[in-house]
Amino acid sequence: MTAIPAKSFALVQSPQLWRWRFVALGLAALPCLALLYFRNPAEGGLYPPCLFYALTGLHCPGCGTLRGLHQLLNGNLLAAFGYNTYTMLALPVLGYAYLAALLLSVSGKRLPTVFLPPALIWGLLAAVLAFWVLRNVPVYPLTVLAP
Amino acid sequence: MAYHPEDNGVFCATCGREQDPGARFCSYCGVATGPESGGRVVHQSGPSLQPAYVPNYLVQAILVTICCCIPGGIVAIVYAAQVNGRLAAGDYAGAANASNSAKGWCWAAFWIGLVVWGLSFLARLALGG
Repeated sequence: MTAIPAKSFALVQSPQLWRWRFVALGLAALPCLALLYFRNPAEGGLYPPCLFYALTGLHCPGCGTLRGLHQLLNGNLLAAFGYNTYTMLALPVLGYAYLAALLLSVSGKRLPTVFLPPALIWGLLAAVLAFWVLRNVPVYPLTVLAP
Repeated sequence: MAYHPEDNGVFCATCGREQDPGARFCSYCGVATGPESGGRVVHQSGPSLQPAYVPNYLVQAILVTICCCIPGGIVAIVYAAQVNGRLAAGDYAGAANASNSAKGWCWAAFWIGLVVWGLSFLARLALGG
């Protein structure tokens, strides 16, 4: 049996190495979320711009994420989805993954995970690509997808 | 890729924990194990008890696509799909290769994005916003 390279298992093999990184990541996110809550990116400020948009004038799949997060933090769920549906749908998954990684590195406990069928991941890829294209089409029902 | 189950530990490919020999379902996460379920079990040789966990980096790939570090995130999603496809087919070495590629694309996109963002930030500061 071919051995699987140990390189793949950094988190599982040495959780203590990753523990402080995940804790630091969480602590670093707090002031960022506070800034996002109080300062609306739609009104300017020194938020990072989208480089793809700056170069091409087209929206990327992530465009509207910061403006959407500002709306989400202020409780405007509909406006948040309006800025970036993909990000809002991905947030619970990202949050769960962070929580699972944090818990695994801190206490060694594993949260339940699902094995995604490959077809589902190919479907996600198709959905992201479709979202990318469709949100740039300036025709009415599709303009909803634009930030 | 001949293996001898009687010599090796059997691990759940979903949660990575060692299973009782002959178990048909993982006693920890309930996922079907055993060769008859499509081979989502890794038999490993040697004394080290490596968890049979091949990460697909899908979460990192999604994060990278959201953070606009394209096209790295898109490529990483392709490799994430390949990781799970090869795991489902029982090709663990192939899955590990795709896993390393997914990891590489995520990190490449992350660092390129960070450097370019940093440069554009400095440029805007220099130009007075």
